[in-house]
Amino acid sequence: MKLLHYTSRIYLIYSLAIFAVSSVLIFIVINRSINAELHERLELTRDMLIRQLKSGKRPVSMPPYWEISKVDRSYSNVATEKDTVISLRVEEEVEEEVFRQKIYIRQVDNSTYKLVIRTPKTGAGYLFLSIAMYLLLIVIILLSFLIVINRHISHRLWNPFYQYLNALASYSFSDDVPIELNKSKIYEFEQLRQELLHLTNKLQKDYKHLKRFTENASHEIQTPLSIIITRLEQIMNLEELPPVMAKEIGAIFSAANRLSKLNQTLLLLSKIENRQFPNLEQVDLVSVYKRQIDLLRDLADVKSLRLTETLKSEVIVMTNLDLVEIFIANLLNNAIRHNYQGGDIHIRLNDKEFCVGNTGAPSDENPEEWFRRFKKGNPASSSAGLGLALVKEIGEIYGWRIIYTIEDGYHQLCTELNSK
Amino acid sequence: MKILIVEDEKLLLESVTKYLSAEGFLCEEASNMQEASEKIELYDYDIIILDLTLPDGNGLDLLLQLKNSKQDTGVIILTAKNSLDDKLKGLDQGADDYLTKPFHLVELNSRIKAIIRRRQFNGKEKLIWEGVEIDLGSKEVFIYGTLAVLSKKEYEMLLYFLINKNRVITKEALAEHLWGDHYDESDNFDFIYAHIKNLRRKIRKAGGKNYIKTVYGLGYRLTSL
Repeated sequence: MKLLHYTSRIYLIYSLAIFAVSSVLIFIVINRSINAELHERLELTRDMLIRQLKSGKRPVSMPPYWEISKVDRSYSNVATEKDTVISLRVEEEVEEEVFRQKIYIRQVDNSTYKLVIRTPKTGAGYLFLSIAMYLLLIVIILLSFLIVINRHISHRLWNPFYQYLNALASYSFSDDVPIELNKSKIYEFEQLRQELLHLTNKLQKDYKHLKRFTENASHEIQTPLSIIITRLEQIMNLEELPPVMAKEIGAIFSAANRLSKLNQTLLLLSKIENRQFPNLEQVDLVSVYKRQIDLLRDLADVKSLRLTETLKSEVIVMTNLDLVEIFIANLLNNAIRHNYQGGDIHIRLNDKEFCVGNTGAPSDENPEEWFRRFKKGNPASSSAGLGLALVKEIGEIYGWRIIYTIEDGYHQLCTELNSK
Repeated sequence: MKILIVEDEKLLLESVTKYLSAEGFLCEEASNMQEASEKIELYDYDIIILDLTLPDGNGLDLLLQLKNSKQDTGVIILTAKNSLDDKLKGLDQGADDYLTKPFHLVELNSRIKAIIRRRQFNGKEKLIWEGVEIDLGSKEVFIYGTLAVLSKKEYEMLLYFLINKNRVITKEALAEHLWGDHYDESDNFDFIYAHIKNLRRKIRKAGGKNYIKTVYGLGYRLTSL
């Protein structure tokens, strides 16, 4: 819900509540005064009639306004005021009118009279209606006014807020540009601005530190690893090395090599993140692909994979050669690795897209997961699970969208190229 | 053949020196810029192995010094940075090759020999060992005079073995040398085994012996024994 809608809604609810309460109050007050007025009129008529009786005159009944009749002394009636409906004949038409009626029992000169006095209530109903209408009208005018003011205030008052919001939305702390926020005259917003600047600065600084840390750590690991690997190579070549030891050395050597590859991949990832591959050149993806598949064909042969290719003769893309090599090699590796014996690989490369499709076990995992770092298809695998993470990072640099589809155990990763 | 190894990490320097000395090279060591600079000034080297990150400066400056002294020295750059910039700069300033740390000594050895071949024989040398003769110019292999028809991979593999004869060649080093950095490493080396098998078969067929021995748990070794 937008701030504006929210405040408008609150205004609306409160206005309606006030309208309801005040309507009830006004109704009560007006009803009271009308009752008092009617009562007074009834009493005036009564007094007039009694005066006439006392003066010896015998007043005539004038229905429906008053009726006089003589009753027994014992006749008693509680003097109540009530509303009654009386049909009147007005020029051939019968109309029903509401009257306020009161019955008085009075003794005048030893005779008991019953006085039924009525007075029409006609105006009161209309009065209520018109009052309610006017009240509603006032509320509507007031409300629309409020909403217009609110809108105006929101746009002006909250303007810096929305500006900050937009700036934050488009801000990325991995870019090396500080966030730009205009000063505000309003204390709270100025405070917000200061806090945001402080926070983003800190984020940016921490992020930089972290990036540098990964890179430095990876660098520092290289040298001890080099020592381990070269020393192991020397032990391997000792003539007196017993076979039992050889196996142990081999295991250590393999592990050290894996560590070295892992470390290089991490370094590469951090470099990609740091955008340290700025040199763009025109690269022909087809020849890069051919070079990579040439190297990897042996791996595919071990699994007896059938390779079918649909290649354009040339696909020129502005990119970094090293990165695009890694990109293509990793996609191909992935298609070989997650294939089964005697499976298929289909390659399609044209100006629009580079698609690598392969047969493989169906998976109910979320494909997004596969692009996460250290995500392995097979947890027991010695692969570090960084291949597709690399693919994703490189794709992001060049704005290549990678689309994954699966159909009947046929997986396909298509990269949309914005080639020339 | 005289080699100068410039590397600030003592333990690594030791390994390299020991390995290359066993290969018959005359090795000298320098662990910083100044030392290296002095040695380059005083002596002539055939090959310099140069670590770029030295405590007292950037190894690239040594390349400049070499260029100015007009020595015909082959240079292999060692770098822990794996940064493209350094590679390009190094190759630009006259380095012949580069290796990223961590590297395999087997690989370093074959790079050195490749440079020597290029410089001395213009790449047209013949490598002869036992009954095996590799013509580097025509890329043909003869076993006791019989032509063995090898695939490109098999040829490169045999060449690698021959250059590093009597040395243990691990599957990792072999895979990296022949298939590059981008294969999805380590848990499956079946593809190497398939090539080794074919190579052995072709050598035997041409009248050779089973020179490529399996070293249990480690890899392979080319030996006449």
